[in-house]
Amino acid sequence: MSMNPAQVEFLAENQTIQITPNFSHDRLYLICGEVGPFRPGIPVQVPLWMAINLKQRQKCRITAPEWMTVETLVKIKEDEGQSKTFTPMPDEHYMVTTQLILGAAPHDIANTDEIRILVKDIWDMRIAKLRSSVDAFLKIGGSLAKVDHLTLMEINTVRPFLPHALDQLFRLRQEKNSTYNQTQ
Amino acid sequence: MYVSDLKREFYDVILGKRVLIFVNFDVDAIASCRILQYLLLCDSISYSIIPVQNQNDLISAYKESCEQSNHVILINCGGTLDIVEHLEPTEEKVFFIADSHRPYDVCNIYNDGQVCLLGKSSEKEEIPSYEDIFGNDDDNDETSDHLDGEESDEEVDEEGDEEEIRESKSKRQKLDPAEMVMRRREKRLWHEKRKEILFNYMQFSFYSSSTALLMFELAWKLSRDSNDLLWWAIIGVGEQQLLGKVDSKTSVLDNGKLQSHMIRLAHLSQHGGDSAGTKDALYITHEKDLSLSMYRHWSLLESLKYTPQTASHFHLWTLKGEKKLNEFLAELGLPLSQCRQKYNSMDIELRNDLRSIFQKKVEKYDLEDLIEYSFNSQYGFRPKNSASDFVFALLALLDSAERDKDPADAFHDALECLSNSKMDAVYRGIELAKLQQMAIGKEVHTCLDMGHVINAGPCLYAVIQDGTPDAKYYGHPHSLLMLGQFLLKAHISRARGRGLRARELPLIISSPSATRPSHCLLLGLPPLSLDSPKNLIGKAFEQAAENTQTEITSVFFDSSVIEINSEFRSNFLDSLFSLLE
Repeated sequence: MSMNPAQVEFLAENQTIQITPNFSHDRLYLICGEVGPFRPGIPVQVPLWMAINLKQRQKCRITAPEWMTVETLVKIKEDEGQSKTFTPMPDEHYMVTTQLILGAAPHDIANTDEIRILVKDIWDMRIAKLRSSVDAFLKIGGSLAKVDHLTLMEINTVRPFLPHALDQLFRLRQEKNSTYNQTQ
Repeated sequence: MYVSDLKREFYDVILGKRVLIFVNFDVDAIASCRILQYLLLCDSISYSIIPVQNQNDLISAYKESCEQSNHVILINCGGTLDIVEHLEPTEEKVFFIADSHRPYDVCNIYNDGQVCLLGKSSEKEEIPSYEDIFGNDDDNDETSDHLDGEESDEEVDEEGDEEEIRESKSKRQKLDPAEMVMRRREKRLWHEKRKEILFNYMQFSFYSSSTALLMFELAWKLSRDSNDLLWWAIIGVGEQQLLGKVDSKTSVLDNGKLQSHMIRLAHLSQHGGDSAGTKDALYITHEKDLSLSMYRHWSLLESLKYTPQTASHFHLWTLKGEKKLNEFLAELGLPLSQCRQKYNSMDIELRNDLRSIFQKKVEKYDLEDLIEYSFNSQYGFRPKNSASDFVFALLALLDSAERDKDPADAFHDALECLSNSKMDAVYRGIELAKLQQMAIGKEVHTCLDMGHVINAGPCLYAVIQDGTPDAKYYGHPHSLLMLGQFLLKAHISRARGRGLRARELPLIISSPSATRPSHCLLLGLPPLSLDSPKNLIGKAFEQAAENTQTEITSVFFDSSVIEINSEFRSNFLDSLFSLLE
């Protein structure tokens, strides 16, 4: 069983982010916690889904998360390129957050085009590493592997395929062993 | 009454309530409706949009849906109607009218609270004062019953009533016949003066500044403006200029306002010093451009052929004219094979320099107005579009309502064009618009060749016969307007000598209606020499209809277009000509 991207996005939207509202409202008591009070010009922490909704209704300005700058991302990209294993990502849902924020509030963030390019490059590198490591794992025929620092979205690109493939291999091996035993 | 503080007296009133929106079938109304829709969505105000084509539609649609809400917004419809009389609303209903048609009905202007006109009153509309029309009824006694006091009974001043009744009752015993006669005479004179004032006021029908611009300024006051909204406002204003509905002074003022908004928004989106922002958004520019119809989506030659200015200038319905056009292109240095190709496949050096190439030769050929400032937009890396492309596309989609296609569908197709960054609907509209312009061009060609434009003394008239193929392309008010303007320009350009008098004659054009098979549309255009879009044909139509007892099946909000049954057309035209003399 796997999760499709929409579900991962739903989970990612629960993260908090800082916004500056332009309206006034009292504290809101939501199921996931309380938010507010909102005062114009005063930054406040809200869940990402609420920030996106308010932005679309032109009621706030979004502040970019600290890792969403060109310098940080360039450094992360270099680290990722040099290490053979996966490096820790600044944010568990970096891909989703980037897409959502840059889609809804392009004018609030500086250098949006470059950031988009950098995040896509990091993503491509990590997926390529994941694929080659899965490939190597299957070739060796190992039975245990441990990977660190993978984000949920990346895991879900291989999730339906990998266990299913290993399952098939196991069954084929079983068949091979049993026929071997029989012919003995 | 006029409401000039849009935020406090209009928007704050409808916050939290449910609204009903009636929208007319024209591009300006659609653009304003879209802007308003965006604002309502931002504040989660629930609304229903009902498109209406003419007065009967408005009245029947209102009757069906009046229970839904107490606040009704009318966009580009209803300003020239007496709302209270025609729609018969109950006490709690409030109407907000944003209409660019003028003149406003006096009952709407002087209504107290129930009918609110969004915008300001301007000097040049010459609204008659309250006393001239309603006040001054100091004889609210029984003598008024003897006269045909239909008017005085309605506009009676409520507070003055009772006292005057008591007064007049006491006076009645003292009145002798001579005084009564004097009073009656005074009253009659007052009524005649009132009729004359009203007649002068309602005589000319014209347009004022665009409603879309009004809605955009509301969005600006609410700090909800953005490039998308500005683009829609530009389209609304562009329609008025393309169809010649406003004079050049108003259009210059409107363009100036739009430009200042554009510059302001461009500065806002420039985040910080050297970061260029994102490419993936809507960018609007105001630059000198060729004013050929849809030339970016057509081949240059066809665009030159079907734009009214160039076609009339070169007389492109004759062989000689076509040769002249080829000469012109040769002098510009544009090879014919390139001009015949679709614009996007032309040589890139030619495309980039097109404007400067034309600039060099327009003076010699007297085509100065071919190069004008226009608004262009570009979304991300997609090809540029000009505002007039959008106007053409929307007009074509609106007019695609035929017998078997519901007008409401056509309306929603057009509304879809204005949604953010979805270009399929726009391209479909542009294809339709090309067909429409070709049909109009060919019809003008036929009319001029066969001499369908007849000088009937006080005016020119042209009748397009039923059963003309392609008649469906101009059987609607706006496309008929385009056809009429093209025809008038072309006819005048052909006239010389005695025919020059034709410049001072208005044009009446009739075409079979595309929505109702046995009816025809009649449109009146003011003469070219006047250079002002004020049109008195609407009143003439009404008068002629009364004289001949013809029933006008559709009364459009623009009074210069009406629809009548084709059988009565000749009678109607005869009485119209006798009126215009």
